[in-house]
Amino acid sequence: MKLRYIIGIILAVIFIIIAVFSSSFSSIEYSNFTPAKLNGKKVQVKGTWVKDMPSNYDPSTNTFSFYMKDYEEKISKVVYKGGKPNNFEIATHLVIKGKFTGDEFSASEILTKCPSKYEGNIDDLKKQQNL
Amino acid sequence: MFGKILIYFLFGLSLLSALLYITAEIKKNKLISTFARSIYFTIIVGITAVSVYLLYQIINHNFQFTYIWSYSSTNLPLHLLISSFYAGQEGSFLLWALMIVFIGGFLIPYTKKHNYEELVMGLYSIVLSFLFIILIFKSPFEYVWDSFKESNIPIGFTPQEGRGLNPILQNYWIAIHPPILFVGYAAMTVPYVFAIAGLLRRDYNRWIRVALPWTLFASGILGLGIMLGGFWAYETLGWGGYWAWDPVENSSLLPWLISVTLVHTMLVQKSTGGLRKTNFSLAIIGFVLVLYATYLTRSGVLGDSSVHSFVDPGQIVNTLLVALLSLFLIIGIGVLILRVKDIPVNKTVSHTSSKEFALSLGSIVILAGTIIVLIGTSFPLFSGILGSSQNSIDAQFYNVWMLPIAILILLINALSIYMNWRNNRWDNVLKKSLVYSVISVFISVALIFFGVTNIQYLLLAFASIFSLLINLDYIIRNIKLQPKTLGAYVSHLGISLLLLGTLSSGAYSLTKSLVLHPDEPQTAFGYKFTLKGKEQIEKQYNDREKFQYLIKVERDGSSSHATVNPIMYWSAFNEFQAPFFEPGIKRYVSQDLYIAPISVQHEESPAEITLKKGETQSIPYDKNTKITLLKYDMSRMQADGNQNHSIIGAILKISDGKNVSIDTAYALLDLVKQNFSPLWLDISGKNVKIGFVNFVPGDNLEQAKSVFAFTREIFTVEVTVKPFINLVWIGVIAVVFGFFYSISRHLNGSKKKKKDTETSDFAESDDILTNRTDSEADKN
Repeated sequence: MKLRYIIGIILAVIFIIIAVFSSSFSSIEYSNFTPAKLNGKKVQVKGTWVKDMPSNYDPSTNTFSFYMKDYEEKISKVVYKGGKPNNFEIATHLVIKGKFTGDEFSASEILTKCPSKYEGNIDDLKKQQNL
Repeated sequence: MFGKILIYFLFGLSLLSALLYITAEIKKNKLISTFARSIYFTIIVGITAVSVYLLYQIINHNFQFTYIWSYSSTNLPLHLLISSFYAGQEGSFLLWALMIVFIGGFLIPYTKKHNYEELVMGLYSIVLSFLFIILIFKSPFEYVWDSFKESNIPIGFTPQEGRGLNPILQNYWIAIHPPILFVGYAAMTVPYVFAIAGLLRRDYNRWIRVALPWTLFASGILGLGIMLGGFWAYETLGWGGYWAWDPVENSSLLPWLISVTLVHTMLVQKSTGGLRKTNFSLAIIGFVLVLYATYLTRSGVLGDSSVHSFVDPGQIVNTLLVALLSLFLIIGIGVLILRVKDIPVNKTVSHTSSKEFALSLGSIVILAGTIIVLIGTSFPLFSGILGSSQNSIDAQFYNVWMLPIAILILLINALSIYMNWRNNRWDNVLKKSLVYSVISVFISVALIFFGVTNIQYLLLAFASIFSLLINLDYIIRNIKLQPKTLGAYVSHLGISLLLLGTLSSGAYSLTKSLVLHPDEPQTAFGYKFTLKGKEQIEKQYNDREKFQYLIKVERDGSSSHATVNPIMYWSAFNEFQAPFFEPGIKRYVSQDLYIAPISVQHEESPAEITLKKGETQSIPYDKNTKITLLKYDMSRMQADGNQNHSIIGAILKISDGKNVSIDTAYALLDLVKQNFSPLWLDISGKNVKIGFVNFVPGDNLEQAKSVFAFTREIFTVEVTVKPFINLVWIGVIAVVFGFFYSISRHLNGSKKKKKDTETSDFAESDDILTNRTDSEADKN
């Protein structure tokens, strides 16, 4: 009986170790534009949309391109495979996943994080108070 | 105040109920037990009153309450108003508590019958009291002036209008999916308290029989809840699929996987007496994972890894959730350790071709899958704790691991059907499964010619078909003989259909983006798509501008056609700044045509016409619609006080033979740069916008010429063909149905075992029943 348990536990531990290792291989690290450009790996970058630089959806290639500023204040062009994501304009920050191809960051995924106004904030209430 | 006080009161009552029930258990006092029961019934009345009160305040738009102000508004229809009850965290905690209380109401007569009421309801009330603590800190009855203390809002101030419900939630699914999911979460409490109660009472066997129907119920209802979430995402949220390994989806999958494993390991114990400690552990882990799911989805820890939006509920609730999770884990493990030496060990060694071996092996494989999902889902959390940043995990991680796990589960399931409890007849098993394995190999080889060349996919297809055929065969043979035992087989049939559907609709879907110009057909995947215009819908609401696009879909070689309506809308919720999308789906028996909106742009070279005052012309693109330039609106020439700008308007009569409307097309004139920019005006009911693009002054206004441009929308969509996606829905329905169907059988089983003494070993009689089942299957 004891032996069976020990073998079982060892197998379980081996499985978990392999699984954790494999998960770290599939992990997508948080990074910034500068290191991402250097190592060319798939990463995710957090930043804000640069509104006064051109952004455009090109239906012929189905790509949406825009400029994003990362948290090191570095600006890069981002080309996203797909249309402009939901809530893009009002997002407080963006998280893009992808990697650099040349000077452009090719994003496969964009998460738009919406402002707290979605949860109601005091400004809305103040507006009403003044009415 | 009423709501808040009532929650404090309910907290006190749940503590009292716990105290009385446990005293009744220790003292073996029926009188105290009766008293405790009446306290519990007061809780039922109380929480119903709180919920009705909240609902009443929501329906009457009492925006004094921060919660109601945050999630509803006066223009919501009734079903959405009711749903805004649980649109935010406070309300969803209340809903969870409500479901737990109600389930407790059913649990009382049940446990009373099984002589478990005092201990189980005592522990149950402890769980409940913790939920009320959360509700005290996170109350839906907080007033706006208390929520925003720093800004000195006068006490008693009532906002005129609420912030409203997020438009993407404004859908009938919100009335269905969350309540069902919360019933599932609440139901997961039951196996936990039964396990703890069993350990405390040194009942290591009978509790299984009592808890099994509830575990089946939890598996069924939680599975249904998860599935409806997936269907919602697929049908209206336009995320493209029904499952994306998103942390929020995963966190509800985790307790379900444990619950499903528990059903299997409970069956093993019921029939052979083995896996006692495993069952206690799984019942504890299942509930702890529900709490973990709550923590992950409420605490904002996964904020940057999920498409769902999270709100940090504040430090207190965060800490409370972690404390809750740790507490119930420690209680569970503590009690288990306390009894671990006392739990008898089953000495019999199971053979590799016995049913219990197959079920145990299957359970280990499901657990391995659970660990994979747990690692992946927790990855951002732990990398956030260990390192500096929250790394996320690629969905590929799940696909790589879950595919072999799915194959193993299917194969084990298929072979287990030919196995008997405590039996060792590999030759028998192989002999019986031979025919179906040959058929499955043939079908899989045939699939190669249909393009399935990936070896892993082929293996999955083989395993699914193999399991499908064997389960189907068993069901057909036994439908008359013993229809009551078939629940499990229907569920397994469902699993094989589900995985076949996942394979075909996931790995073999085709996607193409199409740029649709009005009336110009585009072809893809054997279909022809034509944009026929758009129409405004839900016009009765002034907080939104919602359009459905009309896309005509024709199948090659077929005379019939269909219209698919993807939706694009703007909402006051985000001040009309960005559109929201909903896909349009054309369902065929063999596949879905999924049309997701991507963007709307305008034609770059609009058609123009020139009019003088009083003249009438047909508009380009639509000969039946005529416009007449009635007069000019010069009243806003200096409207904005800016010397360099001027606004000029052309008042137009637009007539399409049936309807006549009068509208004004404005243009902004920049006197410095000499340019003329139109403010584009929609012609109602048509996919045409009109712009006042130039004004050529004459001797007087009568002689002046005006140029109007007409432009139409270009609609870009992403068309996806999803083959055999209906197998996914049919499969999940079968899985869920199987769980519910099995409840009644095991309910009867547990009734029969009422007289078991607590120390008795596994029951023989139920075994005989199961063996008979199998031996009859043998004869077939």
